[in-house]
Amino acid sequence: ARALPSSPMAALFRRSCTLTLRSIASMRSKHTLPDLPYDYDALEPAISTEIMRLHHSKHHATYVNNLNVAEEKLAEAVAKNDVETEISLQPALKFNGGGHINHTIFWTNLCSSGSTDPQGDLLEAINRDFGSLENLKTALSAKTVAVQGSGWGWLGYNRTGERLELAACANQDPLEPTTGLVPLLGIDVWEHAYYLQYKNVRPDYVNAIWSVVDWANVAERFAAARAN
Amino acid sequence: AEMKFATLFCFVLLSYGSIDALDIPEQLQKLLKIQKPAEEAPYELPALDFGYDSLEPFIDAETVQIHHRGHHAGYTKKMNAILKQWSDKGENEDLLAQPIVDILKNGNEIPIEFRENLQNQGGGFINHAWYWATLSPLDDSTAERKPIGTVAAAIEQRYGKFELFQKEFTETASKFFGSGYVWLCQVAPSNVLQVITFPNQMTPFAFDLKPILVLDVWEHAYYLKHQNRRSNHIDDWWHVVDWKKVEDVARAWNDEGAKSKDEL
Repeated sequence: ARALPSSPMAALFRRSCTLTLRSIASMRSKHTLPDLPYDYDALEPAISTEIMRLHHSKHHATYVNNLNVAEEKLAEAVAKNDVETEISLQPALKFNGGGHINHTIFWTNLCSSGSTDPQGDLLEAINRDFGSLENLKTALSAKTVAVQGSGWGWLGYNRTGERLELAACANQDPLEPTTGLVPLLGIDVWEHAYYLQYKNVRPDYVNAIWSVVDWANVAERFAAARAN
Repeated sequence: AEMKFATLFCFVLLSYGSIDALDIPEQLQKLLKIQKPAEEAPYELPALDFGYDSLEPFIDAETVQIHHRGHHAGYTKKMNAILKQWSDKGENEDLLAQPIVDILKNGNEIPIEFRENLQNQGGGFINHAWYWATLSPLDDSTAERKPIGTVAAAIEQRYGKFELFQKEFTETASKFFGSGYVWLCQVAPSNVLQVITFPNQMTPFAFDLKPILVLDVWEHAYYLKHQNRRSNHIDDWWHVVDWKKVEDVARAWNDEGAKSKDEL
């Protein structure tokens, strides 16, 4: 936006713009559950229809709803200058905001089996930073299986170092705010992501998920991360 | 708010090292079936006091079986493997010779390469033992599931009445985010009761806490039957809590022996 000229009138104008923007922000539309880019059965047999339906329409939907509630309460607390309440809402914002961010990325990372292996710039980066695609899969699988309790394994992009890196995050901690890495590919290992189908055998689920990774999406995210 | 403070307090303690932690009475270790086995022998998966389908219709047979034979057995096996590796290393053998409950109380003395893994697997071994130890199937003599004895008195003193305690425990369990357990503990030295949560496989007895009751809220504890509806799992669990066993645990902590069965 163009800088406004400075003068008392301009200062007043700027202030009233800020106040208007703030009230518009509090009226902004709520977060919504994104549609899946495929049907619930699209990821069979790697991920069952039942899991996809529950994971999307129950778990992700709950994060969205709870995020909206928390943000509304936050807006009220800010308006009232109630800092204690603002602080007390932070866990809920992190859990539910992180849950919404993470699952929104996750659905786009996946597609019906048969996607093309990574190519071009992405493949070059994988070979450079991991040795090979197989090495990447082995390393990310191990890191993801090893997550204690609930969490995610991630392939991320380190913008400063200009390289691919792996990370694991607990609960719904979102990758970028937590580690600075730009998320490219996430693997959800909360038990709800696999339990109905794989029970306690998390390694089988993590092995299976590779067959439904959408490398084109990972490549898009990689390109965007580098461009920034 | 109290509960959150207690959890934060414990996290701080964990990061700054151990404090004077309580000894776990041998009687209690026997009740939980986590006592140190014969010298050099591995720990055994604590056997359940009931069949896999005995907690129906509240906790389904498939869940009990996988929870016990899959998850709990997995922690047991991995804990044993780490203890074996540690033994092969020959470092800090005095600590290694202690029961696992005492090893975990002295977490900072566990050789660093085993520490986090052993705390996790050992915690899983103990926490699940605690969970099973206070459950039982319904039968005529346990038709009404309400606290008895010293625990009943302590609940009344702290919460006014059982229903208020149950409400707080249930709400805490519903709101807890991620994997973990909800514990009812006696807090030394006064033994006042406290509902407190710990994430993943952290164990509360490493602090001045004497747990007497625990609810597992990891998703594997309920997902097959209830999917995302944790509240239904909590409701079901109340039906199979065995307050006689809880009383036995409390008395074992307080060194009065497991007299509740005789006194009834």
